[in-house]
Order: sequence, then structure tokens, then C-alpha cells
Amino acid sequence: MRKYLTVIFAALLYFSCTSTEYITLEDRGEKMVLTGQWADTDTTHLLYVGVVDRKGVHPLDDATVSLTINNGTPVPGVLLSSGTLYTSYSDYFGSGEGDASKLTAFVFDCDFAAGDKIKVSAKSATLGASASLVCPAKPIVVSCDTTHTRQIVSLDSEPEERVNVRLKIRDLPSEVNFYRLTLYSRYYLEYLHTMVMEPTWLDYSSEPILGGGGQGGSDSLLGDITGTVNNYCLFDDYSFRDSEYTLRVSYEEWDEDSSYLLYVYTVSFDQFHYLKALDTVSESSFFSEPVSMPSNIEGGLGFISLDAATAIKLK
Amino acid sequence: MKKLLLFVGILISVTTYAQKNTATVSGYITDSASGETLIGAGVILEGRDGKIATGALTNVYGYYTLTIPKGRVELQYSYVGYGDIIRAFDLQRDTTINIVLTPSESIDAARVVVQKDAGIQSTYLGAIDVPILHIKNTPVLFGEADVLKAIQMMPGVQGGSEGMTGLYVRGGAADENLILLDGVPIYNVDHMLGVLSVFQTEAVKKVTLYKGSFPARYGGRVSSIVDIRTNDGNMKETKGSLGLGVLTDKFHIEGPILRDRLSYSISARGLHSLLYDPLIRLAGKAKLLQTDDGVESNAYANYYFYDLSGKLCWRLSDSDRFFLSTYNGRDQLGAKFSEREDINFMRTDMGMGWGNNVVSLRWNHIFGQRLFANTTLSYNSYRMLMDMGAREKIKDPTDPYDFRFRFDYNSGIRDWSGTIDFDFTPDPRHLIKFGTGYTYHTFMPRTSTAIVQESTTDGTSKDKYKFGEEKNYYGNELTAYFEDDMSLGDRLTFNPGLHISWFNTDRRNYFNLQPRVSAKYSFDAGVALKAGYARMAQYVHLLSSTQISLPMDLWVPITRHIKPVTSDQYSAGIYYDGMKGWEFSVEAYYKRMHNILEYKDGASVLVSTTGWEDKVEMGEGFARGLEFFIQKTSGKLNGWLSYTLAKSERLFPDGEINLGERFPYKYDRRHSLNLSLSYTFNPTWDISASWVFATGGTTTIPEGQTVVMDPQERVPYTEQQYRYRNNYRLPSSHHLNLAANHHKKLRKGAESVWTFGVYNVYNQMNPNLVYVTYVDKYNSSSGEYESQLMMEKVTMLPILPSLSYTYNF
Repeated sequence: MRKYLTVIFAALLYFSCTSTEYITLEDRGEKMVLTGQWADTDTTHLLYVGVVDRKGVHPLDDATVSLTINNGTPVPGVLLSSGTLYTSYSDYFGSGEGDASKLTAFVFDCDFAAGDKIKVSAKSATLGASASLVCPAKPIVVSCDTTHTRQIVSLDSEPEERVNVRLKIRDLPSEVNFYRLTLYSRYYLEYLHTMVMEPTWLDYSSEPILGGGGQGGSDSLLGDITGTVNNYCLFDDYSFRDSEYTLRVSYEEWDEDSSYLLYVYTVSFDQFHYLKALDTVSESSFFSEPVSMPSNIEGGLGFISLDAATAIKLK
Repeated sequence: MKKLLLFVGILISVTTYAQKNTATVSGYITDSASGETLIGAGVILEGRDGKIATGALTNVYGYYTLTIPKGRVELQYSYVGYGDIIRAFDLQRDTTINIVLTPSESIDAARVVVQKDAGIQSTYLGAIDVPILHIKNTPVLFGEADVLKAIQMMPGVQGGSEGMTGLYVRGGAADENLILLDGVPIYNVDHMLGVLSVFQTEAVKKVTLYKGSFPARYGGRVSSIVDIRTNDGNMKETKGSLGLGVLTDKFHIEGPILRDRLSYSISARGLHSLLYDPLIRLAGKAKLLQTDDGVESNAYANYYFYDLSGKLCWRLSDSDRFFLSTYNGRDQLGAKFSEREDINFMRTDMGMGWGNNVVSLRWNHIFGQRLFANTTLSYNSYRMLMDMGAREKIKDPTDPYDFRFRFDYNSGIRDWSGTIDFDFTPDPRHLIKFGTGYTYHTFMPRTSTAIVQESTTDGTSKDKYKFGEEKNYYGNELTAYFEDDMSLGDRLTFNPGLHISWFNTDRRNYFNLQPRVSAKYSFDAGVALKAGYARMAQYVHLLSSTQISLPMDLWVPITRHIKPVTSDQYSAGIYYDGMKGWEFSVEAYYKRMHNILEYKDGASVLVSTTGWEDKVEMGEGFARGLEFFIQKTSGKLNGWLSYTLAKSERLFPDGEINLGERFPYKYDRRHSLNLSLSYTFNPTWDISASWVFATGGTTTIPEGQTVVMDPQERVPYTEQQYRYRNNYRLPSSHHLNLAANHHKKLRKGAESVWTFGVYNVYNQMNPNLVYVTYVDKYNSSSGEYESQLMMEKVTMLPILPSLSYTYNF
């Protein structure tokens, strides 16, 4: 549907006249921006720092960063470089460098445990910002089993070998909890002589609490026509508060030599809404209302999160 | 209870006493040439001092009733553009007098100083009779006269996107207008994404806009009522017209089946591409696309729309009249492509159609002389249907393959309704209207089905998928109303009313009492003061997040979580019509809206009604304004000038939108100025001009940039940072339209009319679509690339000349 509407609007635009006007935004001064997506299973944690002004985002070479765990001794962040992308696993594939060239990267070498209260601070000559995080408890995975099927899932492809996963989890006790899933495939890249681990598409179309329910939601036959977008497989414990629940997801086993790891994360309330906003941004179009990105940075912009993971090796 | 009985007893006594000394004159007022009933024609009784003692107007069915003292009376019958008729007689009992008025060459307006439903003489505020002749003679876009575009020129009304037919009245949204076609609501009023409305001006008799103190008989929307009445059909002779324009072809014919008894009226309109559709299909099937390597291709693509309306009017007797009306309109978009090469065959097709279907049966009955009743039964539906298909076939005897895919999507709304309305005139000081109605709504939300079938040598597999909501929603709506337009002395008129509505859906009941009251005090020399209050309730919403009308815009009912929208509007004004042929008014209003909907951040309900409640927020709306209106109604030059100073805001206190702070509405345009003029040189030439100016509405622009990162790729990206909604004021827009009509009398009473028009004469690039994005712009002084916010403005309507021809017979 959106493709046809895009064609209609493209035709209208083709026959129309366009003019452009540059808008000079109100000068609101400079603000520090911090961003990082951490997991307790990582051994190092990357933090990107920059400065935002009317002209855009720029690296902040004179910044210093530190973090404290439970009000302990500050752990300084080590400057990696400005303008270089670093990832926790590989930067050979996928999205490229993004806008890393506009930021300064720091790395923290520390571990987190459930319940740790972390405060991240960043300072430069004129700016400062901070964020407060709590390391959540790891999700409780009761069991996980898989079955194989052969299935038509795409208009123009041959039937695929699919792995169906039944994942039983137990809700963390009391309070409202938020979770997400990520499937990684891990394989050896011959020409680079290295193991690579990258996220792989997880089909949640059969899982109601992930917005599926047997009706689209992935790159199924109808593509972008129907379904609910949930790129990060987010869910809360509304339907299984303080009890157990079995999720049903699946994936395509496109390489017999790859291993697959399913990561189940516990995420914070802020992270849940941040990722929901990212979902909305990714699906937004000309027809959508603008999205205000949540921020948990005091005195600045951006978002830092810390998720707790339980990893399950599926194959 | 005792007090109520006492009140009824007094009322009966007074009425009985009055009846002994008075008698009622009633009847229909019609046009001599066509037999068409005249709405708003006046009946005046002059007093001994030569001043108007009392009077009445014909209702929307052309019926009047006037109760006056018995004795020698002289009644004057008047209507704008017609010669007066005076009837003198001795009135001793209830009498029926049907009057036939003859159009007059004189174009001076008759000033009819009696109660009216709209205009300065009316007790209602914000009620305007849109001059139908002006609509017809003033083509706007592509040379097409349009009812809704003419309404956009009225004070307090804005048009939304440039050149489109949306109505935003006194700070309200486009779905808050009740648009009635002979008393039946029309849900989809646009063609071509809003370029034209569905109303054919040839068939329209009267258009009344209510935007202030609404009459109690109307309900269901909170911002405005547009009451469109169509011609009944010429009772005397067959008349019609053929029109050919830049975009459309038009045909209209009306005439008697039984003279003075049974008449018909038929109107049809369509895009030129409707007529060419068979040729386009033929051309597509012809082997014009066959290539040298033996590949045969067929192709077809077309878009068209049409409107078809018809009416039968049967005057059974002076007491009974029946009307059967029907309207069918549709937009249709289709595309098909197929290719065949040897044993391979491939085909894809797409079709999309949307439109209204309305059928209504009305019965007018007169009980005695003082009670007029109209009963209406109607069926009304809006449907949108889309289907897509693909097929791939390989006729290989050893390895055949056949793949088929079919997808269809449909949605809509359907109403069955019945209403009965009474006009009761116990005496000249009271015009009482009361009635009741019931509507059974069926809401058909988005439902889509996909079927995939694949056949190979291994066998055939077939999968069927259903998406969206399979079940329909149902709603029951029951209404009742009462109002009394009463004269308290010579100067004061008072109209109290009450509209009661009950809406049942999703196992919940909603009940709303909607009081309406307006008053008018007339000073000498044509000066009047008015004040009014109205409460309105609305039980349906239109899901649309775009500025243009899309076929996927869906009507949905209130639910357990989404409450009815209500509004309270206070208005007051000063009016002057002491100069013959001129009317002046200044009107102020304050409107407060409750439970209005706004989409949350990122929400787009395009093609999806699934979970629409989670995508919207309920909040408050505030609108206030001052409207100036000057109208010249007679002479060779006539027209109007309107100016509106207005402000409209929204507030969502729970903080989900705009951090819980007030923000301007998208169509908050502070100043609007509309000038519409027409000048008749002589019976051969007349010209018209309209100039529209409005300061810009609002849009949301980012306040800067931020950086985002997702937890899977862990790659940082810059993203636009929004904080406040509708935080940027767009530039003002204005344009000038000119048109000239050349009339030529032909034989046997026929007439040809050539219309030359230019839309947007000085080619002002007013934007239809606006979007903002960041671009990296090179700064030569710093030698660096800097992010710069750029606004792209798309203008679809530059200077557009038009030429059309109409043959009237």
C-alpha cells in the first residue's frame, strides 16, 4: 500500500513545482550529546560524545568522561579517537559508519552486576552532562527448544528452512518488567580470518505479545502493508506478570555452518520507550507525526542504556 | 409534575383563545417557470402604520404558514430575484394559498424583514446563506464551480491545504463538519484527493452554513453544519444543460413526467478519462507493445471519477409530497500490465475505488394548516475497495509452474436512518420545530485478505491470510430536539432549543444534553444585536493524518476508551442592514472543545485501523475569533468581503503531546481575508474575481539534532530532535482568481455560456505540501559542511487557465 501511495505522490510531485527555503533555527547554544547502548555481557562499553549546535553535531575532543558504580571510585573513559566507528563485535558489515565521524568515542573497561547504580558523567571546557542508570536483573529463561520446518514466507523466494523457537521465560518478581530479544548469527569469515557476530532477523509474526499474532509483522507476504513494527522484539510482562510465558518466534537458517544465539534482555522503562520511539522513527513517513526522541541525559541530549542479557545458544 | 401540568394547561388555554380570533394562511411558494419550491420566500402582513406587523418564511420544502387575526388582510409575497405578489382578501378561516412567483428582470434585492433561518434577519449567529448564483457563476479551480470552495470564502472558514476542499471552521477539524445532502449526511465529500467536491452545482438549490449558535434540529458534529438542498425538478417543462470543461463533462436534465404533479431531475458529471476509459482499455489490449523478440505486452492505467444523482418529486396533493433521491459517486484508479513470451506469462494488476452511495425517501405531510411534517428514510454508505493481483505462469510440460497472488482491502461505513421533523406554528410569535431520529451505524474497519497459491510438479499449496479487524462495529444513535423561534415584542426574538442524543456502541451508552439558545434584539435603522450559546456532541471520528483527502481516510466510532467530542460555543455580534442591498456584521466567538483527538508522536493511521485508539490522545481545544463580513446583495456589482482574526490551540494535559503544554492548532491562521466580486455588464457578459489571503498555518520543525543508536547495530546516527508540536509558522498565502462568462441566447430558449477563467493569476507559489529535512550545506567561509534545515515547499497549483462551455436548453 505504501509503495503505491509513494508512486501516486511521486507522480504528483513530478508534475508540481517545488521551491526550497532554508530555515535558520533559533540559536539555543551548544549542548553535549551522549549516546551508548550497553549490555552487561559486554566486556567493554562504548560511549559516543559530541556537541550539538545550530550547525549540527561535532566531535568534542576536549571532553573527559567517567563513570561510578554504586558511588565508588570513578572509572575514567579511555579516548579511542574522534570520527571512528567502533562496535563491540564487528564493523565489517551492515550499516557502515553511520555518523560516527561526528562524534568522539570513549571506552570503559568495567563489569556491571544486577542492581548496580551507575552514573556516567562527561565534561568539557564549557559543557557538562550526565546520566544515571541501574543495571537490571538478568531475565530468567526456563527452557528453550527448537523445531525445523519448511515454509513459504516470501513472494519471490523458494521455500525456506525455518527454525521455530519456543522460549519459556519467567517474569522477574514484582514491579513491571520490560524485555527484548535479539538473534545473532555467528560465523567465520574466511577472507578476514575472523569470527563475526551480527544481528539476524527474528520472525515474531506468530507471537501476539510481540505484535504479531499470525498476521504479518515481519517481511511476510505483504511486506510493509500490514503488521505492527517491533524491530527490537520488545515486550512487557503485562500478560504474564510474576508467572511464566512461552514465546514463539522463528528464523531462517540460511547457513548451516553458522551458529545462532538468542539473547534475551531485561531493559529499563526508559530504554523500552526509547526503542519504541526508534521503531516509530524507522517506520515514519511523510504521513506521520514527528517523533520526539526520549532522552535520559541531564544537561544534554542523547540516550545511554544498560540492558541485562541471558544468551541461549540455539545451534 | 404539577408545575408542568399547569404550564401545559396555560399553553392550551392561550392557544385556544388565540385560535378563536385568528386564522392560518399556509401554502407553497413556487417558481412560475419551473414549479420549483422557493426556500426562504417571505410572506408579510403590514400593520396599519405601514410597518411590517408579522410575517413568515417558507421552510426548506417551500412551505409557509402564517397565523394572523381574522379580517381584511393584505399579504405581500416576496423573494430575491422575483417580482412581489400582493393578495388581499377577507380571512375568516384557515386558508391555503399557493403562490407562484415570477422571476424579475430587476436585480434589486427585496429586503424581507422576517425571521429567517440564516443571515442577518435570523436569530441564529454564524448562519449564512451562501449565494447559490454566485457559486455557479464563479468558477474556481480548473473552471469548476464548487460549493465547498465557495464556503471557504466565508468568514471563520479556512480551506486547509491550498486549493483543496477541506473545511476548518472556527478552529475545528475537517471531520467536525456535518455536510447534509437533502438531510442525509455525506461522509466522503471529495474527488481527486480534495481538488473537487462531490456536489454538482447544477442540482443545488440552496446552501446554508451554520457555524455559531446551531439550530437544535442539527447534531452529530461540533464545528459546523452545511445544509445543501437540491432541486426538486422542473414541474413545467424539460430543461437541462450540457457542460464541457478542462477536467469534467457534465449533464443535467429535469422536467415533468406529469405536469405539476411528478417531476424528475438527473445530474451526471465525470472526468474526461471516464469517457475515454473504453478506448484506453482497447489501446492497452492492442498489440502496440509487441517487441521484435516476440514479447507481447498489454498495459492499462487510468483514473476517473463520476457523480450521478437523481430525484423524483411527486406532488400527490396539497397535503402530501414524496421525494425519492439518490446519489452515487465514485473515484476509480486502475492499472494492469501483462507480458507473454513463449511459455512464460506474467501479469500484475491493481484497482482502487472509493465512493458514496445515498438513497433517501422523504414524505412531506401537512396536518391542518399549522403543522408541517417531514419524514425521511435513508441509506447512506461510503466504501473503499482495493485489490491487487499477480500471476506468473510457465507452461513447461516437464516442469510447469503457476503462481497466483491476490490481495484485497476494504473498509467503509454504512448508515440506515429514519427521521421525522415537525414545523408547528401555533401563532405568529412562535415557530416551533421538534422531531426525532434514529440511525443504525455499521463501521467496517480495515479488512484485508491475501491468497497465495503455488502449483508445481510437487503439488499445489494455497495459503490464505486475513489482516486487520474482521468484525464490524455497530452503533445506535437516537436523537430528539425541540426549539421555539419566538418573537417577544417587536424587537426581541429568542430561540431556545434542546438537542438530546443517545449513542450506543461497544456495549456502552453515551447520553448528551445539548442546549442551544440564541437571541436577537433589533434597534431602529436596521441595527441588531445577537448573542448565543450552543453545545454540540460528536460520536464519530475521521482517521486521517494528512492534509489531503485520501481514500483510506476512515470513519470510526467512539469506543470504551475514546469519548465523544463535545463543544461549547459562545458567540455575540452586531449587525446592520439598514442600507438597501448591503449587509454588515461583526461577530465574535469563543469555542471550547473537549475530548478532541490528536495523533501521538510518530502516529500514522494510514491503511491501519488496528489499534488506532493507542495512536491518539484526547485533549482540549480552544478557539476564539472576530469575524467581519460585508456583503452587497444587489445591483450590477455584488459580492462580499470577509476578514477573520482567529486563534486556535490545543492542549493535552497528560504530557504525551507537546509535553503537556498548549500549542497552536495546525490550521491556526491568524488573519484571513476573502474578497469575492461579480459584475454583470449586460445579459451577455459578466465577470467575477476572488482574492484570498491568509497568514500561514503551522507545522512542526525540528529544533535541532540529536544522536540515536540502536542496541543491535550499535551505530550512531544523527536524528532530528523535535520537542514542540506546530512550532513553526508557515508563510502567508494568497492568490487571485478571475473569470468571465459570455452568454448567448440561442433558438428555442437555449443558451450557450463560455467561461474563461484563470486560477492564481499572478502565479503565487503557495505550498500544498511542506516538509523539512536536514541537508549538509557547504559553508565557504568556514570551509566546512554544516547541517542546515531546509524546507521543501511543493506547489501543485500554479497559474492555471481554464475554458469551459455550457449549453443550457
